[in-house]
Order: sequence, then structure tokens, then C-alpha cells
Amino acid sequence: MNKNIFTIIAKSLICILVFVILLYLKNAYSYIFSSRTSGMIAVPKNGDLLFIGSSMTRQSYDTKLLNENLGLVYLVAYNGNQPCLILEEWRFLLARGVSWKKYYIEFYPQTSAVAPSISDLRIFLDSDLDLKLKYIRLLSLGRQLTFAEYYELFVTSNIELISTFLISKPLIDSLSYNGGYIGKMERGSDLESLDRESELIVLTTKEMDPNQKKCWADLFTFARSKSLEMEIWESPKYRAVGVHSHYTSIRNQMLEMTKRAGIPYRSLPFAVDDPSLFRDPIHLSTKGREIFTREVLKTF
Amino acid sequence: MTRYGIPFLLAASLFFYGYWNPYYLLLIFFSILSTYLSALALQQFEKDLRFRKLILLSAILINFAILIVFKYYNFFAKELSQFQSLIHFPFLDILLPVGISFYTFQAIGYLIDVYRNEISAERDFFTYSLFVTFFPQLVAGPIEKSTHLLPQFKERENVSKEDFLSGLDLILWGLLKKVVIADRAAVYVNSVYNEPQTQEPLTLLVGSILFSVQIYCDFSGYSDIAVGTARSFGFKLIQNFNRPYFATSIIEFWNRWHISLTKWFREYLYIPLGGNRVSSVRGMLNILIVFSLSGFWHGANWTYLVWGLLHGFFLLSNRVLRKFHFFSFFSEKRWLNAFLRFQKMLLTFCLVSLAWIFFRADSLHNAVLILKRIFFEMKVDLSSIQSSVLPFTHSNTSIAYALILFLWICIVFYIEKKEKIEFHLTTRFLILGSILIFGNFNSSSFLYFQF
Repeated sequence: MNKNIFTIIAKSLICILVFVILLYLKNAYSYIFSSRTSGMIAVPKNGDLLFIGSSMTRQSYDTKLLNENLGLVYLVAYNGNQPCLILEEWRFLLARGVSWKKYYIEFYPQTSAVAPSISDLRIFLDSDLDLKLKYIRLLSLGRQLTFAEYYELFVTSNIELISTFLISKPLIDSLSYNGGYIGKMERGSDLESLDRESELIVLTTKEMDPNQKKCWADLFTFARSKSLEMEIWESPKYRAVGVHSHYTSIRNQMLEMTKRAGIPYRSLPFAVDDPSLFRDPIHLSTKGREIFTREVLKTF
Repeated sequence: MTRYGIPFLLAASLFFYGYWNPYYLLLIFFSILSTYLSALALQQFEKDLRFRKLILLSAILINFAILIVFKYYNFFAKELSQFQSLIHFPFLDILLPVGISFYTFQAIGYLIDVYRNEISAERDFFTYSLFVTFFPQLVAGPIEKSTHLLPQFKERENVSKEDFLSGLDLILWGLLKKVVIADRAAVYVNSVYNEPQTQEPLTLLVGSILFSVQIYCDFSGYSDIAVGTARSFGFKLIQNFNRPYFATSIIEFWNRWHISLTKWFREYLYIPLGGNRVSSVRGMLNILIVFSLSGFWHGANWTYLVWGLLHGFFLLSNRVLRKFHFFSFFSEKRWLNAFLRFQKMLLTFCLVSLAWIFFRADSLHNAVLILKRIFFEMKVDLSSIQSSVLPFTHSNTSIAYALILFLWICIVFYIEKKEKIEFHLTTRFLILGSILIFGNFNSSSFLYFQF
């Protein structure tokens, strides 16, 4: 009986120890499993134009087309990427020796109006322990992180990518090119769906989140201190989204900030009424992506 | 059971139920009291057959009336208001009490057992209350038969180490199925079924197959946890599932899926209606009645009714085909037999999955749309294959999510192919670790809690 209990306790302790060690290794070296064609880890050391933003950045630019005409272009895109996260990502990239001619940072009022949060857990995969802790500090601004959030971030996040990397990594890598999509066909939507979906993503506030606002200011200061050439770019949104008073209010605040900091702000012309160009109110369809990329080329 | 065992378990069960909504304790108390007193009256007036029948019918009607008001009133009010626009039925702002369909059926089953003299009316109110409210099976079954569960409350037996450990094993296994498979599949299924009109036909097909897996792992996962919890307390509940997707016919499927409900309908409805000892037309009608009611039992929506009717038709077709002894000439060849068995299994799974589309869709319109797109607009090319993987995360990382889910489905179904699941200490740690690492803990509930 005593021997049995001893065995159970010993095995339990060994299991806990193995679990803790694996957990540490996972969080310290998760970036080993990162994609080689998208995300922060895959960014080449030097290049011409580096875009940093959210899924809208990924969906708005055709990297093949840009590369053919503008030199090396790369998109660092994570779903729901926010100013505070972008600032840390940019610092991380520079610390890794990345140096590009020009940086284009995405602006989307929605991500500037909410408190710091992570919606794309791949951000956690592509970072080292130090960056992960910085994210945690950001997420803890003004609130207490719950146990479930810690658990998701440190234990379960990206476990799928890590445990299947032998098969999933080559497949995922083959679907991206310099951070953008290859061969992904996304049909346009229709007016009815776009109008309905636009109502679901209406901004509830007309003010920027104070933490995100501070991150924008820090981002401008950071660029200036490192003499980095940067621009703020706004990708096209379906008309119902772009004309909403809260959206325009936050955009005006941003315009004011960029003007004061002397940072160029661009919002390129686009047929925002044409439903065939949008997959949903904020993401372009394949056709929309091609048309917008050509518009980008004209700008250069 | 020890002297304080029953009051303790009863208090725990009532706390468990009341924690969700204390007001609904009154409802369950009414159900307990009405069936308890009716059963005693049935015993008291043993000789007076007409009066016994009257008591039984009144008690059944009262309990069904509660179920109908809480579960079906708003549905019928809406349908009738649409049908006859002159009459407007008021909408009742009420929540469906969790587990009402389960405990009502269990209590009614007990009454019928007493009426049939299969069991004596339980005199101890606490013991009977525990029978209705026993917490592991209160909210989503298994629906226990009184002759099986009530005597167990009276036996004063200690919990054996084997029972305790096998109970824990079942809990672990159920949790694994729920959080690692069902909740992962739910991410995909919800994404697809929330907007079926925007999905590719291949995505709809994958979503429908995954729903078959999800509902099995969710419900059987819950049942395993319920049976395991009860077993670790020393009680043996009925096994609600017996590897249903390995069934080679619809008849066999219904002997393996939600066994306690199937038994309830067979014993308390199908057989009293005459079962198969009546004319063939009447027998067919009986099956359709039972399956349509079984469909409606799941929820107040036409989709559930169609789901039930579809199964009724499948079962009838199965019976007809059986009579002709199709393929019997293959039985001599062993390898052909195995191949045929696999084909039958696949066909049964396809039919069951087809019916699940009605079960899961929000409306008949959506269910028909999904079927139409799957059967008439299917196109398999690189782009549609790519799109069919996306619903997990809506990005390329979905590939990894799909692989993990596929892997776990294979592991779980492979292990379940064995008759009995028994674990060693190391296996238990492995399962626990898998739950902690691969579990999706964002889902809040079990699918069958809504019924």
C-alpha cells in the first residue's frame, strides 16, 4: 500500500516537473516553429518597404505585384494587431538587426479604440520570452489578467502549430509569400451582407483608448529617435464603415497627431461602394486586393 | 448507503441545480411532489383499476403540461400567430429550465413502472427526490429507470477501489472527448452553420461531418462524466452510448445512441402503441410517431421534427431491406464480408450525418440550402479545399488546427473501438496532460444542456 502511494506521488511529481520544463521551453523557444514566409521571424534583415499591421494589411496588398515593381516588400500582419503591439513588434525586429528603407504602419480606428488585447495568438509564437512578458505587461494595463487568459497565452496557445509543425509548417509556408497570400481566392460580397456586417462592427466610442494613444505617440518618438522613415497608411473600408461618425472622429484625432509629429498619413482612393471588391466590410476580396495594389503602385 | 448518504447527496444535487437558477427548484420540487404522491396513490388504490388509470393520466398530464409550457409554448404561439394572424398569442419571457426534459421523463417513467407493478412506490420522500435530482444525471441524463437506480440508493455498500478508479477513468475520458474534440470541432461547425449561405459546398460538407463528431463527443463525453461521477460514488448508471458510429445499420445505431432515451421511448410509448405486433401499416405509423416525438423532445423547432422523421424513414427502410437479405451471398467470403461491413458502417454514418444537418441548422430553410449546395453545387478544387480548412482560425494556421483535430478523432475512435476502456497510472497522466494542453476551454456548456 505504502509502496503504491509512493509510486503515485513520485510519478505525479515527475509529471508536474516534465510539464513545467516543457512549458518553459515552449515559451522561450516557440519562435523556432514560426513560419519562414510570414510573421516577424521571417522578416529579412534588409529590404525596401516593410508594412506592419493587421489582417487588413495582409488582405490589402498583393506582395508578388509589389515585389515585381518596388523591390523587396514584406508584410508583418497579425489579426487584430494594435498600435501597442505594433510598437513592441517593431522594437523586437530592430533588436534582431532588421533594417529596412521605409516602414508603413497600418491605422484602423477600431484597433486604436480598444484596450490592448491579443486576438492572433501567432504573435505569441513568433516572440521570445522577453517579448511575451512585454505583451503581458501591455495586456495588464488598467486591468487584472484572468487565470484563463494566462493559461491560454502560456499553455495552450499555438500548441497546434508546434505539435504538427513537421506537416503544417511546410503547408502554411507554401501559402504565403513575403507575408502576403498566394493563390488565395476570396470572392466579393454583396451589398446586403456588407451593410448587415458593417452594423456589427460599429465603433462604440469616438475616442481613442488612452493606452493606444500613448503607444502611437511612443511609436512616433521611437521612429524619430532611431531616424526611421515611416508613414501611416489606412487600408480601404466599405463605405458604411468609413463614414461612421465614430470612425471619422478617431481618424481625425490620428490626422491631428500625425500632423503634429510630421508623419505622412495616406488614405488612397478606392471604390468603397463596390461590393465585389470587399470580402467583408474591412477586408478586400482578391479582385479588390489587386486593384488596390495597382493604386499603391501608382502612388510610388 | 450510509444513514446520511441520501440527505447529503440530495442536498448536493439541489444545490447543484439551484446554483443555476434557484426559482426553478420550485418547478422540480413540484414535479417530485406530484409524482411521489401519485405513485403512493397508485399503490394505495391497487384494486381500483379505473381510478389508478385516472391518477396516472392526471400525473402524466400535469408533468407534461409543465414541460409544454416551458419548452414549447413560445414556439407554438409564434407558429400559430403566423398561421392565423387574427389571433395573437402572447410571448412568455421564460428561460427553459435546464434538464426539464430529462427529469420529467425519468419521473414519468417511474410512475408507469409503479402503475405496472414493476416496482413499489417509494415511501421515503428523500430517496425519491434523490432519484429525480441525482446530480450527475440531472441535467442531461442518462434517463434512469426506477427499477435500476432506486434499489441502489437503498443498498448499503461501500465504494470499491475498482469502481472509484474506473469512475475517474470515465470522467477523464469524457473530458478528453468534450474539450479536445467536441469543443475544437465546435469552432469550425459554429463558424460554418452561422452563415451557411456564404460557405463553399465542400466547407458545408466538412462542417456537417464535423458536427456528427462534435455532437457525439459532446454528448457521450457528458454521459461518460455523469456515469463516471456516479460510479465513483458507488452507483451504476446506464451506459448511454455504445460506439454508435461503428453501427452497420440505422437499427443498430439506435441501439447504440442515447440508449436511455431510446429505451424510454420503446418501453413507454412504442410498445404501448402496439409495437410491431400490429398490422404492418400501423407498425410503420408507430415508428414514425415515436421518432417524430423523439425529435420534438430535443427542441421546439421544425428542424428537430424533420430530424426525427428522417430517422423514422431510415429505420423503416432498414427494416424493409433486412427482409430481403441483401448481400447474404457474401457471407461466405471473409474479406468481402469485412469490406461490406465497412461499407454499411460508412453508409449508416452518412445517413446519420445527413439527418444531423436538420438537427444543427437554425431553420428548415438553412438545412435545405446546405443540402442543396452539398448535393448539387459541390466542386472540389485547390481553392475550395483551401477554403474548407479556414473556418478554424480564418487564416492559414487553420491547417494545424485541422490536423490536430483529425489526429485526436483518430486516436479517440481507435481507442473506443475496444470493448472496454481501462487505464494505467501513466495513461491517466497522459490523458490529463492532453486535456490540459490540447483542451479548448472557451466553450461554456454541453450541447444537450439545452434540451
